[in-house]
Amino acid sequence: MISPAESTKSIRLEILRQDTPSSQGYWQTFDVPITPASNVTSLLRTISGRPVTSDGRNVAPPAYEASCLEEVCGSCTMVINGRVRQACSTLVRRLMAESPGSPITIEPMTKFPVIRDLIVDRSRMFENLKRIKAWIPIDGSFNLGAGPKITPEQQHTMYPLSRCMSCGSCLEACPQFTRDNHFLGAQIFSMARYYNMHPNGKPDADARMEVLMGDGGITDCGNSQNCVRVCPKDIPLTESIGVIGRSATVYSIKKFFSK
Amino acid sequence: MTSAMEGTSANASVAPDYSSRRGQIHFWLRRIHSLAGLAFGGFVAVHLMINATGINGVMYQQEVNKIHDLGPNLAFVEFTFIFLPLLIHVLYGLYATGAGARWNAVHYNYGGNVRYTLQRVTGLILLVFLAYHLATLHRWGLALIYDLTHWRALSSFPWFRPHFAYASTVDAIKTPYGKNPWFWANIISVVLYLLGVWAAVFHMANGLWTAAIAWGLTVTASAQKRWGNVCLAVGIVFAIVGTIAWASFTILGHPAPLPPRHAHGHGTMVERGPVYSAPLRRAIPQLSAYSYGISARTAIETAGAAGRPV
Ligand code: HEM
Ligand code: SF4
Ligand code: FES
Repeated sequence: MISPAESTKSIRLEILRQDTPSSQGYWQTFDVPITPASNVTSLLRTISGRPVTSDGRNVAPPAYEASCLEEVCGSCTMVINGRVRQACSTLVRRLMAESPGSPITIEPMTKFPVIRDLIVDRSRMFENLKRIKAWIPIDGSFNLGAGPKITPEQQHTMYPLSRCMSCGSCLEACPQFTRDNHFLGAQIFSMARYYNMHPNGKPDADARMEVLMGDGGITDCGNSQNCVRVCPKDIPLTESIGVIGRSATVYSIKKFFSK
Repeated sequence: MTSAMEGTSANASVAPDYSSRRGQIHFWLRRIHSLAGLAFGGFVAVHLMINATGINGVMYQQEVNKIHDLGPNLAFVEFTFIFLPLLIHVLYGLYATGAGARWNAVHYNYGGNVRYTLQRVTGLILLVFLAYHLATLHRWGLALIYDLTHWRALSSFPWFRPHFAYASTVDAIKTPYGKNPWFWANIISVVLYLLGVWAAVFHMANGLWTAAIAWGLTVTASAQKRWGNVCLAVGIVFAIVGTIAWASFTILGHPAPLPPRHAHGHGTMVERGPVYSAPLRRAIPQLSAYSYGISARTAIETAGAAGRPV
């Protein structure tokens, strides 16, 4: 029971829980007091402090991830009221305005395997980054000297691309990205574009194109353009897809005639 | 610096080959699907414009005559520029529609996602519509089965008769199931045609938009928006043209008496004119007799008032 002073406002939360990676999910309901500044992560933290469901049962606190609390790490990404977002930057006030009177539903992302409750395994994204060589080579056994200069114009295009935090929102919202296919998804197309632009990343551009034009590559993009709408970092993902499509056209002609 | 570059190039050449042959083939299939869609879209555009001349039956007949005066070449043109692209496009299109995608336009109801979903829905509508449209109207539909088997149940096909273009089209679309246009089956036919025309126009216009991204023609958000407006304009124009075509043979269509198929005593095929290609004629001897009928123009003149007088 909440004391009268605190009971001024509380909200109902419905959380999709799952105990182990292979077990069935189940819903649990919690009533949580809120303040005008509450965000979803703060609600989850409140529940952890007192994990009692609306029907009064003591339960294990729902497991969730959070780190930066300022929308730069992506770890708290989950599906809130049917849409993927970062729990830390999702204000309860906004959710209430979105769907007044109804409870907030919280689910783990649906495109990645669940580890427990709201925690998912996003290692597919990291594997995909490795597949497209999403790195630039740095000094090895000897000093390679100063890197090439990047013009302000290049930097203007590249910096927004570099902001990706691998949260997976773009993949969660993409109808072409599913748990059982191996579509690379918008994040990878954008990172490939970034590294193909980078003077030190350019030498691997052809190798990247081979991957991007292979299984699960740019071929499978269906242009729903959800990615760009949900990306919390405002990365121009659909431009990157257009760039990769253009590179694929050019590369395929080049390959046909001169490889 | 230079050595850094050399270092990476060496890495690239020894890198494991992640790109499977399957993936490469898939890539080309997708690009061919796109070209085939554009080619077929070009046909649909012409087809709708010609059919919009149906507001004037004589004009429509003249257009049809122009096409059927291609004679045996018509089959070649149809196969190469219409049926082959359509077949390729539909096969890959069905794969793309079914390949494990999870439609989610309810939760993510953004314009782009709604169009993505509609592109697939209209594709499926077109599959049904085109199957029905071709089976009943085209001489390669149920009529071909009739030619080969002489199965009596199919003797009324094809419903479209080039020498009585207007009257047969009205009959095939507005009153295929009896003279009463308010009979439920006739109403379904009329509605299906409107749905088919609109689905084709949306699919074609939106396909024009996605094709530009797939090939990398439009890259920036503003270029995609600009091209999107062009596609929208194309869509609106063809929606109007298509609706005029639809109306010509439905709400504005005048049913006219059609001569029976055996009117000229030459068997059903005479009025079809020389339409089968030479290889097909040689392969199926039965067809060769039909192929040398009277020309389209002679037929309409002979048919005279029996054709649709406008
Ligand atoms: C009959 C069944 C049809 C099916 C199942 C079908 C399916 C599809 C699908 C799923 C796409 C999206 C492909 C992607 O973006 O990955 C597509 C694209 C397209 N379709 Fe169709 N379609 C059909 C008929 C048509 C017709 C009648 C037209 C012409 C009016 C057409 C023209 C196009 C065009 C131009 C594209 C764009 C290709 C691109 O994105 O590069 N399709 N079709
Ligand atoms: S591109 Fe945007 S939505 Fe996708 S993983 Fe990176 S930050 Fe998240
Ligand atoms: S906790 Fe880092 S993005 Fe939410």
